[in-house]
Amino acid sequence: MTCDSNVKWPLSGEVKRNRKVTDNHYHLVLHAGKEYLSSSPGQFLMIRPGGRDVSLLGRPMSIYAVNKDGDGACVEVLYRVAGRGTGLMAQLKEGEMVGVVGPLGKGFTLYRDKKRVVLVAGGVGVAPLTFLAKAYRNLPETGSVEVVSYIGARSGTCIVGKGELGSIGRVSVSSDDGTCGHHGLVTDLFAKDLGVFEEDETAVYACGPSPMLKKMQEIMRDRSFIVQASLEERMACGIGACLGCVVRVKRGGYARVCTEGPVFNLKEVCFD
Amino acid sequence: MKKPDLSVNLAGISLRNPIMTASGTFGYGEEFAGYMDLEKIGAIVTKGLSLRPRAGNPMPRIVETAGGMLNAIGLQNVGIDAFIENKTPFFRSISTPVIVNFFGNSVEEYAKLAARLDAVPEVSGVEINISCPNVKHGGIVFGTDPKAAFSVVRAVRGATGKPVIAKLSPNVTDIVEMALACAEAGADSLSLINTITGMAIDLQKRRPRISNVTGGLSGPAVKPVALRMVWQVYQAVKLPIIGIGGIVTATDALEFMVAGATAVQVGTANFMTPDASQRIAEDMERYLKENGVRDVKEMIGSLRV
Ligand SMILES: Cc1cc2nc3c(=O)[nH]c(=O)nc-3n(C[C@H](O)[C@H](O)[C@H](O)COP(=O)(O)OP(=O)(O)OC[C@H]3O[C@@H](n4cnc5c(N)ncnc54)[C@H](O)[C@@H]3O)c2cc1C
Ligand SMILES: Cc1cc2nc3c(=O)[nH]c(=O)nc-3n(C[C@H](O)[C@H](O)[C@H](O)COP(=O)(O)O)c2cc1C
Ligand code: FES
Repeated sequence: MTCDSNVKWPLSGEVKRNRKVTDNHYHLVLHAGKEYLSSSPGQFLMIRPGGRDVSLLGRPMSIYAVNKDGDGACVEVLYRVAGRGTGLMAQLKEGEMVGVVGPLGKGFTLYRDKKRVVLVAGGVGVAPLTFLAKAYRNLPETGSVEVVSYIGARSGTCIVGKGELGSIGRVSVSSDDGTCGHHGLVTDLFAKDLGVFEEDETAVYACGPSPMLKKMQEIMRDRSFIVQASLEERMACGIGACLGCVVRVKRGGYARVCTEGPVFNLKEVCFD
Repeated sequence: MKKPDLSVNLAGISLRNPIMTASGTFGYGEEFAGYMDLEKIGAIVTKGLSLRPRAGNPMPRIVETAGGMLNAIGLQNVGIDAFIENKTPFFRSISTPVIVNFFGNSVEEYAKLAARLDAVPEVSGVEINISCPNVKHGGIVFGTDPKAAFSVVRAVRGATGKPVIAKLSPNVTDIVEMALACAEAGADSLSLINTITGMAIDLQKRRPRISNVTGGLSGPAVKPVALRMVWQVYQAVKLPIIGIGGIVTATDALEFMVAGATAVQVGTANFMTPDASQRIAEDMERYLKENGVRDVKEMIGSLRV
C-alpha cells in the first residue's frame, strides 16, 4: 500500500519509558514523528492507549518536553492517574504502540520584553509550565529573565516537577494538607507575593484545575498583568470537530478549548 | 484478482465507496484534512446546520460511557450565512461529495433552509435531522411523530431538487412506521440511526455527568440496536438506506450492508482516530479482495436468515 502524500502524520507513537514518579503520577516518554519538534509550550496531544479494538476516546495531555530522537521526536508527558484512560496509560510498557494525535491547540505566548515570568501550577499543571520555563531559558536574548514558580498539590507526596523548575528559578510550594511548604492553596501563596511584581514587567502563567484558575482570575481582576492560563476540559476529538470542549468567553458565546485554546487570556474566560 | 468495485449510487449521488462520515462528528471536513485523505471516502456529511447560529448547551457536554459516549452539544453551529461564506470554499477544493445535515424548529424553517441549500452548488445532497423539537407544537420531537416527520420531509422535498436523505431517530416504538412516513413524503434515502437518548450519573456527587441531564448515546454500544433497525427498515422500504451506529471497523460497516444498507456513516470512531473513515474504506476493499467479492453492492441485504 502506498502511503498517500496528503496524510501528514502517522498518528501513533512507541512507548520508550513509562515510570511512576509519585504516588499517583507517571512520566511517559514516547517516540513519535518529527512534527512534534515544532511543538510549543502549552500545546497538547491526544493519547489513546488500549489498541484499536478498545472503545476509548483519546485523552488530552499537555506536552511536557520534546527532543530530537533519531528521525523523529521524543515526546514527554507527565500525568496523574484519574480514571479509566489514565489507568490504561499507567499500564503501558516499553515498546508498545499508542495512538497519538498532535501537537494540538494554541500554546502560550512568550513575551520577550518582560523581566520576570511567574508560573502558578496546580498539580500536574506543572507539565506545560515546565516546558514554558525551559523555552524562556532557551531564548538567547532573554538570558536574564527571572522565572519564579508556585507549585501546589493536595499533599507533599504528590508534588511533581519541583526539581526541574528549581533548577531554572525560585520555587515556592504549597499543599492542601500542609505536609509540604505553605499550608493552603497555591493561589494564596502567589497572592501574598503579588505586591513585589511590577505589573508591566511581569508575565503570569497558570495551569491547573478550574477552581484554581477561577481563583487566579479573582486575584488578578483589578490588575494589569498579562495572565495566560491553560484550561482543562473534557475532550472527544481534540481537533475542533465535536464541540464538546468549549468554554464560555467574555466576548460572547463559546470557544473550543482544543483549537482556540487550551491557552487563553485568563481575563477573557467565564467560569460558570 | 482485479480491484473490487466499491462504488455505490446513493439516490443519485455517486460515491466512490460506501463510507461516509456522520454529521456532528466530522466538523466541516477541513478539520480532518491534515490527518487523512478526504479523497479516499465516499462522502462527507457536515455538522447540523440551522438558519441562525446557535450557541449550544453549557458544559459539560460530553462524557465517555461503556462502549461509547453521551453528548448534548445542543446543536451548536455557525448558521447558514456563515456556512455558505466560510465553509463552502473548502468544498470546492475536494472532489468528495458533501452532504449537508440541517434542522429547524418548525416546518417552515426546515423548508427555508432546504431552499437556501438548494442554491449552493457545492452541496450534493441534504440530510434532514428530524430529531429536533417542534417549537410551535409543544416541543414534541418531529422524529418521534410520523405525521410531523411526514410534513417536514414533504416541505423539504418541495423546496429542493437535490437528493433528500431523512435521518431517523431511534427513540421511537416503531422505526418502520417512521421510515414509511418519510418515504411517502418523498425522501430519496433514509439514514439511521441518530443517537439513543441516555443518561450518566456521578454517584458521589449525585449529579448528572452532562449539564443537559440527558444526552445522545453513540459509539459501539449502539451498534446492535442500529443493525436491528436497518434490517427492519430494509424489509419494509425500497429506498437506499445509510447505516449508522457504532461503526469502528470495516467489519462493522459490512455488517450494516449485509443488513440492508447501501452506504454507512462513521461517527464516534472519528474522535478515537481521525483517520478512521479512510482506514475503514481501505480495510473494506481488502476484505472484499480476500473474500472474492467483486462488487460491494453484492453485500447489500445479503443477510441469510
Ligand atoms: C489541554 C489539556 C491538557 C491536559 N494535560 C494533562 C497533563 O499534562 N497531565 C495530566 O495528568 N492530565 C492532563 N489533562 C487532564 C486529563 O486529560 C484528564 O485527567 C484525563 O482525560 C482523565 O481521563 P481518565 O479516563 O483517566 O479519567 P475519567 O475517568 O475520564 O475522569 C476522572 C476525573 O477526571 C475528570 N476529567 C476527565 N477528563 C478531563 C479533562 N480533559 N480535563 C480535566 N479533568 C478531566 C473527570 O471529570 C473526573 O472527575 C489535560 C487536559 C486538557 C484538556
Ligand atoms: C458529538 C456528536 C454530535 C452529533 N451531532 C449531530 C448533528 O448535528 N446532527 C445529526 O443528525 N446527528 C448528529 N450526531 C449523531 C451522529 O451523526 C450519529 O448518528 C450517531 O453518533 C451514531 O453514530 P456513531 O455511533 O458512529 O457515532 C452527533 C453525534 C455526536 C457523537
Ligand atoms: S475536543 Fe472536539 S471540539 Fe474540542
